[in-house]
Amino acid sequence: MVINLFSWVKRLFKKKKKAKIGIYGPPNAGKTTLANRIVRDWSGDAMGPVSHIPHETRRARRREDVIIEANGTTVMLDIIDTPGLATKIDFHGFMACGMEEEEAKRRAKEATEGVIEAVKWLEDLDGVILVMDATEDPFTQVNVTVIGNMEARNLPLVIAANKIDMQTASPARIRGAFPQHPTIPISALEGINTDQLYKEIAKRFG
Amino acid sequence: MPHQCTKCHAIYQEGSTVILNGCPKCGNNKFEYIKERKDKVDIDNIIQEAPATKKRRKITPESVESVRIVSSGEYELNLDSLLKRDDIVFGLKNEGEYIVPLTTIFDQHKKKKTIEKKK
Repeated sequence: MVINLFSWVKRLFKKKKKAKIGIYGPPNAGKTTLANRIVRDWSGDAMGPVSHIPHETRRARRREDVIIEANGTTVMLDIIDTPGLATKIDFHGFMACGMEEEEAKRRAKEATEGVIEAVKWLEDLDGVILVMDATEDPFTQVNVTVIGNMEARNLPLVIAANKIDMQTASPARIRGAFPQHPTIPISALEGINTDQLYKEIAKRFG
Repeated sequence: MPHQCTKCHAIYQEGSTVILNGCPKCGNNKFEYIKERKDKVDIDNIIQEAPATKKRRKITPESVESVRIVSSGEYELNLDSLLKRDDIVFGLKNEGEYIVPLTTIFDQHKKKKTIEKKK
């Protein structure tokens, strides 16, 4: 009885565990859509605008104290939505999306700075959600380099195999490519299987 | 190696017997060995190699630069270098041209030293 009371009091005053989590991945994988989904699900707010044009997010955005409860665990997260990681940024690609040359060049410059900023954030993180587009080939230089570096840093990693609402999606291909890390198939846009992702987040980062 | 007349500079193939009786052009009987000139072959090679030399070397994980500025609005990023190194080296379009932002690097070291002192 005394022990029960003691543990109850301890739980009451115990600080919630807080983890700083970065959402990483190539451009247009759905990082901001996922960040919006998480923040909306757990705090009723939004994180940032999304677009079909690559490199919409060119500055890292941070949302503090998002509390996620899953598997009987409560985890408090600082969520950092980062610009897309790429090995080549060419303004011609933006012009193909209908942008004027000057605007396209400015976007390319900001996107390049964004990649550097995203990498700098890694120093400060407790874990990473790596978002991959399940309709694309996962064996890309970006994915392989990022995963290799996370492993070298011993950063806990959860792979979100996004866009499973699309017919051509193959989350199994991602799981097969990186079997050493938990891969959760989701659709951030439709909210499909996000409960499973929250459980994994609580397990890994809680 | 071909032979060259020291007087009139006429060139004769190696082992040519015509020079045994002196240079057929000027009668001089002194010759020296010269390095073979492969003008024609070289030109052919250059023409064949020209497109390859024009092709810009792509940035690789082993490249020294972390970001290469190909042109205004066109960039190549060396993610491996960015992830592993604190400092950033900018490569310009042409191979061997780099920009090292010293101010940023010095600022980083200053910050690190301050943090270490605080510890």
